Amino acid sequence: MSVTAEGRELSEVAGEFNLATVGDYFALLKPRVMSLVLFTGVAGLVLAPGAIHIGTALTALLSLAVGAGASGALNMAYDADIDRLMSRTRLRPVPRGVIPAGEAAGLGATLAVGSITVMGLFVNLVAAALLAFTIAFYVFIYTIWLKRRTPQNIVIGGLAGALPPAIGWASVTGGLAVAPLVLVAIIFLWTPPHFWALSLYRAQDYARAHVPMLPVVKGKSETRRQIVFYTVLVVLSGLLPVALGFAGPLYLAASVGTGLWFLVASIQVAFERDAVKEPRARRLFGISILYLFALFAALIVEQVAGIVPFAPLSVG
Amino acid sequence: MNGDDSKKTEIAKQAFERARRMRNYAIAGILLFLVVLFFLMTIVRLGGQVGNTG
Repeated sequence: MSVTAEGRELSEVAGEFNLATVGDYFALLKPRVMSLVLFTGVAGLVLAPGAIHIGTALTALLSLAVGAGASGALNMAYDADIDRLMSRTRLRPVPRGVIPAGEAAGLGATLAVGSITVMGLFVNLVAAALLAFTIAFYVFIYTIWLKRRTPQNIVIGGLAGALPPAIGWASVTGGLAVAPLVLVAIIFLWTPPHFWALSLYRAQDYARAHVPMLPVVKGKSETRRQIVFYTVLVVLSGLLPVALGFAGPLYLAASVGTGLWFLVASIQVAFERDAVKEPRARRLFGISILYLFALFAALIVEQVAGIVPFAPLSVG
Repeated sequence: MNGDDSKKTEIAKQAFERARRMRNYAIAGILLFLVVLFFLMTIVRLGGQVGNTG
């Protein structure tokens, strides 16, 4: 029997037996999103002044990663109906039928409570409160309220994905400051051009599922304009760590270099002629990830290598 | 039940048992990890007071 035929027959009887693998449960936690959350959380953690025990730091990062996974599982449980309609998401474990939505929700809720509790007990209450806020914002404000109602869904909802550097910082200091909030602002402004690039070449998917993404509601031309606008904002905000004196020459080079690349790519998307395949939007989506990675990697490397940041710009 | 149905059920049963075995190993590993983590973090939180029984 071929693998395909066996897979088909297994799927026919999947209702009778729980065939979900460990990999299916792991996929439920959105590991790619989790890795980005972890990476930006590390940046906040290493940037923060003061000392933290390595065990406490690893526990904070574990709680952050599990909290992000919990959000992903709760999101997949709630969105199973629309995920089933979109080619990008239809193979996720819940729409595929290998994990029931109720089980995904149960796992997500358990992991959410567990991660917040561990963060509160072993790290500090401020970091735990921020983690709880992040999970609640992603699930209730973004997933349940905004996603199916407004094209501003990912603009406002982006706050949830932007908070990990603040959680990393709070894990060390027990509070917040300007530096982590600037990092939050960078990710917050980065989210719209990143997801609108995706929505340009997945517009039919979103239309089929009645998700009011910007290209579906306002059209592709308006989406292209908004992408350029937000890319200008994020590239400018990407220079703030230098101006405020918590980033050095490596960060400046990464920010200017990849920032210009990001900006040029967004302008090229504005002049796209192939509105069906959207090759420039696909490219922009990849470049946006590289941009954010370069910024946060530069911050981490500068801290670890002990590179001295520039003096803050003074006005007057 | 004809032969085809019986074969399908047998294949599904084997796949189910394989998946369940792997899930059980994963749960056992996670529980063991959490036990070690909670123990170590308790020691870290106690710090210099770890030997103080009075």
